[in-house]
This record gives sequence, structure tokens and C-alpha cells, in this order.
Amino acid sequence: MATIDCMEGNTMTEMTRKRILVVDDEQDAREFVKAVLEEEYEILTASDGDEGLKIAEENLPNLIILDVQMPKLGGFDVFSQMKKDKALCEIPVIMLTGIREKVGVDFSKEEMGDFFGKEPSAYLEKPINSCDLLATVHKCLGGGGCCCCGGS
Amino acid sequence: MIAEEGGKRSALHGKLVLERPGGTSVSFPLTQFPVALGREASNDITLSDHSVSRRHARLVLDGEMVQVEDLGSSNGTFVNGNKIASCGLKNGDHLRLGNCSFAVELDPPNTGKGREPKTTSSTWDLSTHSLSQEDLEVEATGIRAAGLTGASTGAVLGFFQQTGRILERAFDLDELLNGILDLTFQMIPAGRGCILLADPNTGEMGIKASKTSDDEGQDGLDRMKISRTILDYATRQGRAVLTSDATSDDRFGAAQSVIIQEIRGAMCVPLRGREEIIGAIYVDSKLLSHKFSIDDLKLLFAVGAQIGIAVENTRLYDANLRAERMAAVGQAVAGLGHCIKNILNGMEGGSFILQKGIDKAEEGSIRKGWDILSRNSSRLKDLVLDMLAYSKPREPMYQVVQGNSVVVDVVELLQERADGKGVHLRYIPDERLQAVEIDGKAIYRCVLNLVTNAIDACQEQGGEVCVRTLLSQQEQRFEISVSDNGCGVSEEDMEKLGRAFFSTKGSKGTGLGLSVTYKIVSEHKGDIRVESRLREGTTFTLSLPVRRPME
Repeated sequence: MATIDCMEGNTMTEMTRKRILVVDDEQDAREFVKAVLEEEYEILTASDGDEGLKIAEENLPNLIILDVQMPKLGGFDVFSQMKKDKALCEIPVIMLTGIREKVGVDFSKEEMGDFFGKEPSAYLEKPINSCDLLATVHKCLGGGGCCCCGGS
Repeated sequence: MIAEEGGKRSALHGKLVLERPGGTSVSFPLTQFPVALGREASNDITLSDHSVSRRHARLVLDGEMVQVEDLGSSNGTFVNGNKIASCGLKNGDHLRLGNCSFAVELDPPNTGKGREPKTTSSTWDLSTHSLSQEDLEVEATGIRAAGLTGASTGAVLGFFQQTGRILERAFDLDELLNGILDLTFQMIPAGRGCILLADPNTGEMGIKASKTSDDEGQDGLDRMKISRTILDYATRQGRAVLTSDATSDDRFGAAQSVIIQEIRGAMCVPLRGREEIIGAIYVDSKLLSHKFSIDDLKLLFAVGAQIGIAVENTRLYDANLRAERMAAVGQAVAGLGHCIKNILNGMEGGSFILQKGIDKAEEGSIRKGWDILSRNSSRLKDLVLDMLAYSKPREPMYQVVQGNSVVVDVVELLQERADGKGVHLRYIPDERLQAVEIDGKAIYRCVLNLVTNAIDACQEQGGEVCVRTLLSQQEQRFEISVSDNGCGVSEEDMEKLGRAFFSTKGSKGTGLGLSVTYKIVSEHKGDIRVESRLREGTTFTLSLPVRRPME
């Protein structure tokens, strides 16, 4: 279910609008990220890892936002497959996690898979803070600061 | 309290404790006077040390006072460092004969509580040089069942079977120790008994379980004093110790005569752990008819060897249990934290979209934001309900309900959700199913969980979920089955089904739904069957008794 949202009345031209792929199994989470970013970026969404990889290959987005905990192909699996793919390995990735070291629970080696030794561009913890999300995306894509916080 | 017997005056007056090189000591209770000390075997206390004269000194009773008299020894007799010819002894004095040093431990004069010691000549020696101990001691390795003659082989085997059973079952230290003591009392004519364990931190021995036989009366345990010497001997040297009645034991002859309190006999064996001695079993008896034999000692020694390991295992088990509990709590907290964060994420998202809609006066966004918010608040409610249902054991609140109606309610509720995902939800009731006695709300929750899972498992297109009821009149049971043609459960995951916080649903799953379902069904004395093939589908079948099961 790839969705390409084209914003109307956008000040930026299609040429300068960067493309972001959001991969999350939860619709509410996808909607959230999309709502935060859609004014500046073109948003693609995928509801699982396989679909995410497929859309990434087809559309070569500028940034991928990946949820870690997804059924079947999890976020780390998608990440490590991307790193093996010449077309995708350079695309920056922001990982969305429900839980991480902060609560004393680390991902197991099994969960991490081939992921060890490589790092995504950034981690963002759920619940997502819209300003953090925007700022992180800007940082990854070299854009401006967060509009609502008055710059990064 | 002095009794006359054969010209000798006897009573328990205390003891001399011989301090030996290496920190060990041997005690000689003082009961009969005079007590002769010297190198010759004819002495009451034989000291095989060349600094001691053949007939070195003697202890006599002067009224209530114990006196020591030097018998013209070559190297002298010393009390508290002063050479003496004759001197009264007090408790705490230090007595030295040549190179042999004794601590003097004297009881205060007995003012008489009507308890006249009847025992006049129980003799016992722990390990003086002059007496062979081989007969009394069983070396750590030397236990052989064939050597047991006192008790019949059958009884001994039965005994070990029983100890084996206690050891298998006992995960609780108290239960283990008391069980072993009870069994010991069945086999050994003990009056009093206790098990001592060394404190793992300080090494201090403390009584962890004790028992008194009916014959012994109530005063047994209150006054239970265990000879430190016997205990040390058993635990430091790891040897079994038996003290017995010397009147019937020729080996003692006219050698050291001592009485240990009023006790006719006592035994003490070490409890061996894997690496060290961790405690001891001690038994004694006041009754003449309850004399201990070498076989009793062997038996007790074998018990000691067995339970030493068991005690260590129990302690390890406890430590493991604590660690596991901590791990389980950690896992639960992490699992819950994760679920709650995902729900919060939904709420944050919902309110962000709602805010945006309000700011821009877009009804679409307002509606979408509101939907997300309310959906996540009901997820939170479900999570809390599942948590509560999972956390405490409860009896089902039985009521009479129409079996099919519980299922219909679920199907109707989830119809929309199924439609939204393009899943065809079918319901095939067994019309013969009428009133059943179940906890309606709880079973509703189970069916809701199963049907929700089934819909989630389905692909976006061509998904099918079928819910059926079936009455088995013969067995007085009814079944609710939920089938889907979805992704199926892998063999690996099948084992983890129902484990709390295990979910294959990613952010959507709490990992509690099935755990709660399993719990509720088992509280109903029902069962759950699962059949699944990867990528072909899964069928969950709940089987429940039609009537409330009798207790």
C-alpha cells in the first residue's frame, strides 16, 4: 500500500521537495509522522518491512524512517538489508523505537541480527515529539531548523 | 549434688578442656573424683606427653570445691602460671601439667532443683591419644550399607527411599530439614535432635531445625545445649562422632570417665556440601533404653552426606528463584513500558493532527485526530484490563448465559474492523448450544482476543475468519473455534504462545491477549487447542465444560 502524497499549494517546487519513506506497522504512527512532515516533504508510507524495501527500491527516497518493532521483517532486518543494497545503502535512516537502553532493556543479538557494528543516522524514541522529529529530519537532510521551536 | 558410688563421689562438676596444637581441643568432663592425671594408662586422664610424669597430679573434691594436687611431678603443676603443690580450682582457671594446658570449666555449685543425675558413669572420650577411635568413627568415605546390622536392610532401604523423596520435593529449607529430622527419629532412637547450619556469611553454626521425642518430655529443647567440642569435632574434622554409655562398653575400661550432662549418648555427623562442611546433625538421648549403635551412626552419617548437598541445592534454588522473579518483573515492566509508549505515541499523534486541524480549520484533520485519540484511549483501557486479568488469580464469576450470544457479541463488535481490513468474517453457530454456565465477561474477552488476532493475522486481501460454536452433548462440553487463513504460527513461536509480553504483532501487540485467554480458560477448567500452518492459517479452539465444574 504505497501512498504518495502530493501536497497542494506547496511553496516548494517538486524539484526541491525531498522524499521521505515512513515504515511502521501501526497506522496511527504513520499518520503522526506524516502529519508532522508532510508540509515540507513528500511522504511515502509502508506498513511492513517487505513493502518498505520494495518502495525504497522503486522510489529511492532521501530518508527512511523505520520502526524497529514490526511483525515479520523488523526494523533492524530492513536496515541490514538496505546496507547490503548498493542503491539503498547510502540513504540515511532514522530508527523509531518503543523502548531502548533508557529503560534498562537492550535489544537482544537476535533482534539486532546483522545490525551490529552499523548505526543508523539517528534514533527517535516513541512517543515521538514532533519538534524532535522535525529537527532530526532536518539534521539528516541538511535542512533548516524546527519551525515551531524557532530553529534547531 | 553428690552421689556416693563405690567409694567414688560423682556428680557433674564441669570439665577440663585440653588445648591441643592446631587449635583443636578435647574436653574431659569431671564427674567422679578423685581424677588421676598422668602419662600412665592407669590414670583417669591419660596424657601421652613426655613432659608429663607417669602419675602427675590429681583432682579431688573438697566439699564443693575442686582441688588440684601435684603428685611430685618432674615438670610441675601450674595454675594460672603459678607452680603449685595444691590449689583450689575456679571456673576459668588455667591448669598446666608439663606442656599440657587445660582450660578449667567448672559449673557453679548445684543448689539442687531436685534433679539428681542418675547417670554415674557414662563415659565418653572424643579423641584422646590413648584410645583408638576407629570403632567410633566412620570416615567420610567409609560408609557401606552392608555394614548396617542394627536396622534391617529393608528398613534402611525404605529410609533412604523416603529421604530421597523428601530431597526431591523439598524446595523449602525448613521443610527439608524438618522432614529429615522426622525420618531420622523413626530410624534412630533419639531423644532430642537438631540440624545446625553454618551461616553462609559468618560461618557461625545455628540450629535450624529441632525435634524432641515424646519420651524425652518437654524440657528437652529448652535445655538443648550441644557440646561445642562434639560439634567442632564433627564440623572441623568432618567426622562422625558417637558417645555412648561406657558401663556397657568394655573398651573404655577404667579410662577417662566423664559424664556429659545427663546424656547417655549423643551422635553428631557433619553435613557435607560440595566443597565444605556446611553444618551438622546432632542427636542425643537421656534414656538408657535408647542407646545408639555404630549402625545408627553410620545411618546418620549417610543422611548427613545426602542432605548436605540437598541443603546447598535448596539454597541455590532459592537464589535462582529470586533472580528469576527479578528477571520476570523486569520483563513485565519492559513489556508494559513498550506497550504504553506505543499507545502514547498514538495519542501524541492524534492530538498533533487534531491541533493541526483546529489551527487550519480542517474538519478532515480534526476527525482523523479525534479518531486516533479515542482509538488509543480504548487500547490503553484494554491493556489495563488485560494486565489486571493477568496479574491475579481469580475464580470465574459463573453465571448462566446463552453460549452463542457471547460469540455473536464479539463478531458484531469486530465486523467493522474486519470490513476495514477487507477480511471476510463468518459466524457459524451450533443452534443446539443453549444456556451454559461460564464467566460470560471473561469468555467474551477470550473470544475477542482470538478473533482480533485472527483478523490481524490475515492478509489485506482475501482474508477470511470463521468463528464457530459446537456442542458436544456426550462430553458436556462446548467448543468455540476461530480459524483464519492468515500468516500462521511458526513452530518456534508456537512454543511461546501465551507467554506474557510475547507478541508477533509488532507495535500493535501487547503480548498479553493470549496469556489472559489461556489463564481464563484454565480457570474454567477448559483447554485450548491450536493448529497452525505457516502461510495457510491458524485455528484456535476453546473447549469448555457446559456446567460449572464441581470442586
